[in-house]
Amino acid sequence: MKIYNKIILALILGFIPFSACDTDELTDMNVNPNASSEIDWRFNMALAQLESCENRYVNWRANIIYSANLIQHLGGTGYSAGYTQTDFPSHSAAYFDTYYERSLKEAGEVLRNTGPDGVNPEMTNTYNVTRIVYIIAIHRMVDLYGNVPYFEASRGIEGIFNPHYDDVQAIYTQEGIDDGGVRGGMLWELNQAATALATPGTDDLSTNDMIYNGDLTKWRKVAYSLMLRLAMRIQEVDKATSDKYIGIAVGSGLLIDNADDNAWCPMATGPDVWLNQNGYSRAMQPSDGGHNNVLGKPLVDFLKGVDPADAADDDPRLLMISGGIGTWEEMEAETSDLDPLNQEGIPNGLDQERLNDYLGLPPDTPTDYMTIFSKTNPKLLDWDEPYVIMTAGEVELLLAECALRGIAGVTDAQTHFENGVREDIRRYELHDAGWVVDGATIDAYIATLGAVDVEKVGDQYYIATFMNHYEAWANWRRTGYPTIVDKQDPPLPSSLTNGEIFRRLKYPTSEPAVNPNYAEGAMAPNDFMNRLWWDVGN
Amino acid sequence: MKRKLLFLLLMAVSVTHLWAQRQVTGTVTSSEDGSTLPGVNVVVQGSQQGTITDVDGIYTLDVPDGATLMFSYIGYVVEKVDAGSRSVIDVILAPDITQLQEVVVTSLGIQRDKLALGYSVSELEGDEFTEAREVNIANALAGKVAGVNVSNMATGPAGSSRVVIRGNTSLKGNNQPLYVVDGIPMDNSNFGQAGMWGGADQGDGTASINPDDIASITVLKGGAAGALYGSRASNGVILITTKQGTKRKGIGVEFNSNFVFENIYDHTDYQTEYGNGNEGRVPSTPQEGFDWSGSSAWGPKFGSVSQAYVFDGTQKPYKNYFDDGGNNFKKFYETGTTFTNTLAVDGGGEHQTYRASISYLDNKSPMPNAGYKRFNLGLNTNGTYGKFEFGAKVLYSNEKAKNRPRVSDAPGNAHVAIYTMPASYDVNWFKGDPNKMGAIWDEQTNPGTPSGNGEELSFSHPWKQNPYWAAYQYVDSDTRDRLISHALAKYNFTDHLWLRARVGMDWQTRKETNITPYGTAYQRKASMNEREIRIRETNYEWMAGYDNTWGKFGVNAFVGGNLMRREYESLQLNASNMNIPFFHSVTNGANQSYGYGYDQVGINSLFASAEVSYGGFLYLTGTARNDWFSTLNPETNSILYPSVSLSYVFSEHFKLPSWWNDGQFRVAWAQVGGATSAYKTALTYSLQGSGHLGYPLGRISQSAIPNPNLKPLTKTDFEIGLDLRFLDNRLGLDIAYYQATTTDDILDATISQSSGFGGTTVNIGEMENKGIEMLLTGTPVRGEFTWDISLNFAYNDNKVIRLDEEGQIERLQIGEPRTRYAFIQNIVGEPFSAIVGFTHAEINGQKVYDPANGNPVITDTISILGNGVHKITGGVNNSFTWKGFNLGFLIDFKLDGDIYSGSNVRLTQWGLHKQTLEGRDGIQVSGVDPEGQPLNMVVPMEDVSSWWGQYARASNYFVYDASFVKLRQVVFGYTLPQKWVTGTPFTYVNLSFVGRNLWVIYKNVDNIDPESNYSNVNAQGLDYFGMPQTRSYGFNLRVRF
Repeated sequence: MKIYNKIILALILGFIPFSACDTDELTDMNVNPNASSEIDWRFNMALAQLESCENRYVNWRANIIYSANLIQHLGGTGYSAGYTQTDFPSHSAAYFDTYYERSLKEAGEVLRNTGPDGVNPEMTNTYNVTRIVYIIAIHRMVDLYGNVPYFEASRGIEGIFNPHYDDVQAIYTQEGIDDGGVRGGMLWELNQAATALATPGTDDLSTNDMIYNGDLTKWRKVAYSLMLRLAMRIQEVDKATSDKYIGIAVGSGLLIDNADDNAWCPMATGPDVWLNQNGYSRAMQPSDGGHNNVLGKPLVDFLKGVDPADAADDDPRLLMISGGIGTWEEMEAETSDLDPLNQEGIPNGLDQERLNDYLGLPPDTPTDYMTIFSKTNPKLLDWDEPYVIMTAGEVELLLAECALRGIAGVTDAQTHFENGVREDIRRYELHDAGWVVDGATIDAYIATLGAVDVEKVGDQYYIATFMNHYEAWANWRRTGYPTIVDKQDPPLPSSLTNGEIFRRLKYPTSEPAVNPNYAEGAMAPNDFMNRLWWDVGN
Repeated sequence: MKRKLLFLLLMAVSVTHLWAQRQVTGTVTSSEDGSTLPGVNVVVQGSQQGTITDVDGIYTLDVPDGATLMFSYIGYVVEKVDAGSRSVIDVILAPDITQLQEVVVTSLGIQRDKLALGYSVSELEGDEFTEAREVNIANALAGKVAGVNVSNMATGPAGSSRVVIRGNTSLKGNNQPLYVVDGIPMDNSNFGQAGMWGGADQGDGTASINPDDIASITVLKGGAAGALYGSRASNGVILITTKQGTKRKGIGVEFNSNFVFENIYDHTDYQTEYGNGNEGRVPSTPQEGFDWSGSSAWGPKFGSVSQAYVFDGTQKPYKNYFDDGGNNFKKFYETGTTFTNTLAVDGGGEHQTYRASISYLDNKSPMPNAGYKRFNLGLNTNGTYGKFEFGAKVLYSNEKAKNRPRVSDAPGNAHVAIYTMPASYDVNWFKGDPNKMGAIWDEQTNPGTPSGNGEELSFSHPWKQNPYWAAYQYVDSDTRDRLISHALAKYNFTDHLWLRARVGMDWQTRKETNITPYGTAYQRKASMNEREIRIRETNYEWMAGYDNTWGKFGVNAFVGGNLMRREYESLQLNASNMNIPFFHSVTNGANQSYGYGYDQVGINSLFASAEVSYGGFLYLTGTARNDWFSTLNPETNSILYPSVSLSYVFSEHFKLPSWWNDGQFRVAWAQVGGATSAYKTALTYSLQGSGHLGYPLGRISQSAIPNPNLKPLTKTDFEIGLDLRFLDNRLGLDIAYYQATTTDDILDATISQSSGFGGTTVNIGEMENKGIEMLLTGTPVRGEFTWDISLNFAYNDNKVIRLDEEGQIERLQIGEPRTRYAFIQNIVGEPFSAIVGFTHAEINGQKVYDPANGNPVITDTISILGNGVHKITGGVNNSFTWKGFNLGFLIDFKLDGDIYSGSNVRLTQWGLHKQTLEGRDGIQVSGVDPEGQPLNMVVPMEDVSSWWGQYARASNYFVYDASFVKLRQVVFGYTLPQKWVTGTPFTYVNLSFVGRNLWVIYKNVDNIDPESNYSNVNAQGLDYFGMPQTRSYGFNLRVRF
């Protein structure tokens, strides 16, 4: 028993050293084995690129439910009838809710670390490409909401927890200081980034840049093309700045060739549906919860040409954009009606009763708009469909408008206009290899359009921005084109704006609840009809 | 346990007198259960002569003729017996329920005389949890202990609970107490709660415990009580002491069987005059029938139209189907059952005792196709060999939850459909294919076709689920294996000096399967995940103690150390877009991805405690504990937590009047605190997913901004109390006042998303809790018929004093409901969990309406509308005993709290709420326009629904007083008389009728239970389509042999 006692006592005493206060061992425990204190910033740049082209959540809410229905690229009854009757806080807040904490967060971190004051200032290519990516992601934010945090945004790590709101004007036009310390406005940023990229740095992006594989010349073209898009947006409200940047853009090289230049983000079928698949496609898949893929009347009317009863003058894009009429539960068009003469888009502002009235049927006829009107072509909606940021067609159309209005010495409006239409028709080859349209067919169609004018440019811009509904809605607010995109007449009783098309989206309800700077700088009133600074066109 | 210890204690100090007198012998048993009582003090009245009973309850004593024997035993009424000339005197002692629970378990498992404690503790006997049961033991605490606020969740029987002691102390972190089982901390992780976007309550740690294994539960409320647990005790401590073996002849066997029925408690009261429709008309086409289905009761009055299209494209008579067999709640939910059987054996000899128990619980939820099964196994042994004591214990549990119901947002949530179907709908229509509940059945449209394509029979829009599809085709199931074990060894060097070492482990693995099935309207090709979680917490502890007395002075002191290590690991496989239809396997997914999570935390501690007593009436205790945390940087990771407490038992000091039995005054001060979870001090980066097309993707790991300067939070706590007993202990009052302030709380403060982060991890703020607790006990009638009553009452006043100094953070957002018209926030000057929201605008007290359409104008700024945490909690417990009968019922209440009912928002927007009967033909609006000019108009009939839609955005109309009074528990039992069971194998037989949550006596909320929070997280005060609360009733049988 004595020996036994000693053994047990020794065991008890053996515990005592366990609780010595060895803080080194404790500190080591707080190192996350699945995370690193350092990273190659190009990896974060890649995620910022990918997330600026995502995802199902935001595309469904901001791009489709609001932008596409408001601009009548798409339509439906009730739920999506021009979408002027629904005020779902989650829907209108989706872009704000999603982008700041994803694409802009990563891009902001890359800028902080690769900028002049960062830990890797030698990574100039990464820095400047990411600046452009940042503008791609945030310009839609500004155009959707108006005043938003910009100069202080994405700087939480620096201790700026609740950024101030900035005026749309400042976000577009403010000059920055060229030491990277203070970010300039969007136009200035694009110019700085593009200028800097003329002198390539040492950091190779070929295996990190999913859009251009490190081809900096193309990034400069994207920067100048975005500059043209944004500068044009403010033509009516700040002509001097607008002209200045359009001049820079036009003189520096733009996206003019689809096959070679298009700013499209490649997508994949997997492995992760939320990360790798095209979010726009997912949002439209009936099998994935989407159901609003019926084309709007203004779009289909344009595509059917001057004479709707004649297929010969149809836009070659008609049966590329439209997948026909029919049921397509799994988005397979084999049962659809592909006769061009039968293609039809749904008018704005219908409910079930008005739909029957429109169709000339008794009010209680069982009708399903989903099977009566043309739908988005499923060939545009593959899981790995590339996500379109900007196209050569848009650039040419913007140049045509410049020429017509005498901006920045641009001339030859007709050529730019025709090139714009041609390039946009040809871009569909990139969506589906079977969609090669021969030159003669394109020329024949262009001939039906006649001499260019500003309205025709606006109408073609509307077609060319199909799927980039954000841009179509912004351009309509600036120009008023196409004019056939108009308010509900008569408005649906449930419309929140008496049938008028919204001019902006509402902020997340969490912002007034959390950010003390909201009251001072945000758009007030926070309603759908408050116009942005540049929104003076119609 | 207590009996055994007392026995040992008394054996050690008793003196056996041997005078040559007549010998009397006998057995002392308990009237409670017929068991023999070891260690009962037997003395000859008026003399020093006495003995105590042995392990079998037998005593032998020499007694002078004509003497009176006095039998006393702690917890029992003293029995005096005239010895006469008898030589065998058997005595049955009756428990004294009014008496103080003298010996209580305190921190680190140290047993102390309750009167020596300078702080309040509450102890509950195991029986409180075994007769009328809750599946989750923590829910059974409701209404029983002053200052303990238990929230039942609207998530079904296998859900988690929320227990908060003396108010919420952390602005955003954990506010639930530390659970300690036999001295070893137990993991109480949440495995997932529903949020704004829905989900299922995945349960928590306390659900694993078998109530039949519990000897007692001790609640350490204040800082001083738990100070020896240091950082882990900032929210109080709940000590669970499990049953141990007893020294006895042979083995004791106890069998307990409990069977209860469970039904939902339906609080709805809908309008049943108007059915499904819009703008006063019924759906006139199949498409409208589908689009409008289920969520819109804006049709015409019943009787005006005979037929209407419904969701499946058919026409049905347009009438009130609630008249046919009840409303849809009654039709959809079932009668659930819970059947629990426990068998325990125990025994022991001179040196060692043991106990083994085995238990099986089988719950079938009122939610169709859902249930919960739990298997528990308990083994323990304790021994004393000379100077050595040792103990070892294993508690094993296996839990299987089948289909935890999804709550809050609509996807997969069956309750949404039940709540929002108008009276013109019968939920039975949604059953569809009889071979596959909730699936399309062509019989409905094409009679003669055996079944449909196997996909969801959907309605309304794809994100709303057919309730049968949600119940029968979705899978949210999990199984957990858990082992809580410990081993201890103690060496007593002398009678005064001892050394103890202990190691304990709580180890669990949990496997979950979640399936959104193939054919679901919003996810036609299905998605699923398989997740496995492994958690292990290990504690190593040593202690050395010394106790002694010198004259009137006594000392009881110890020092010790503890090393805590906790590891968490999760592996997850996700799959979506199944290649083979209806085959749910992760290997079948066209898209497959994985997830991996790991973290590790550690705390090293040293602690010491010293109690000095004087004269048996004054006790001064000081403790100190230093914790070192792994989760903070070395410069700030150490903190010392001191406490000091004083108990003055003035009834031992002064002679009080004879009607005044006991009196104690106590006062305590303590500091406790806490750290944070892992990996919050440094910014790190991770790789995202599997990359994209070969491009590696990098991201910031954290969603909240990390902070290298974090330091531990501190809670400073003061309490003062009185414990008084009067009238032969028939009246007792225990009253306490406390004040606690939390400073430098560590939390992820919500910041603007435009910063890139949803939050920032900071040490901020100060929050105060002040309160009063009172326990009033009385025995109005004592005798053969005894009536005991106890009232516990607590008032807690919580206030956020300060957030950050820089003024960047004015409010902390801690929750948001799916409607997004309201929020839960912590705001300076307001209590924790303020309900805030947008309101109906007013100008000079006049409601503002939009002149264009008459709609209420909603403010662009938010106002404080209520508070999600009740200030007042308590309960009244009555117990009656007469012969073998006992009747007990508990009424509990919570007052002065609010709830934002998202359910009522939707019921109003969709025309089911009774208030929408107003103005169906046109609403008269009178108020002012936004300029303040008088406005009187009539909103035409077709716009009435959108008027109510706008009205429902005014959150001021949907914050309700959540006060309630409930009949929480009823037990009516009968114990067979001893003489009936003599000669049978049984020694004790008790049969009881038991019931829980039987009646909501008082409430103030429309259509829902005031306890309808769908999550146990900090954001309290939100209701949104949770599982209705259940009431249970049945029988409990207990047999010993």
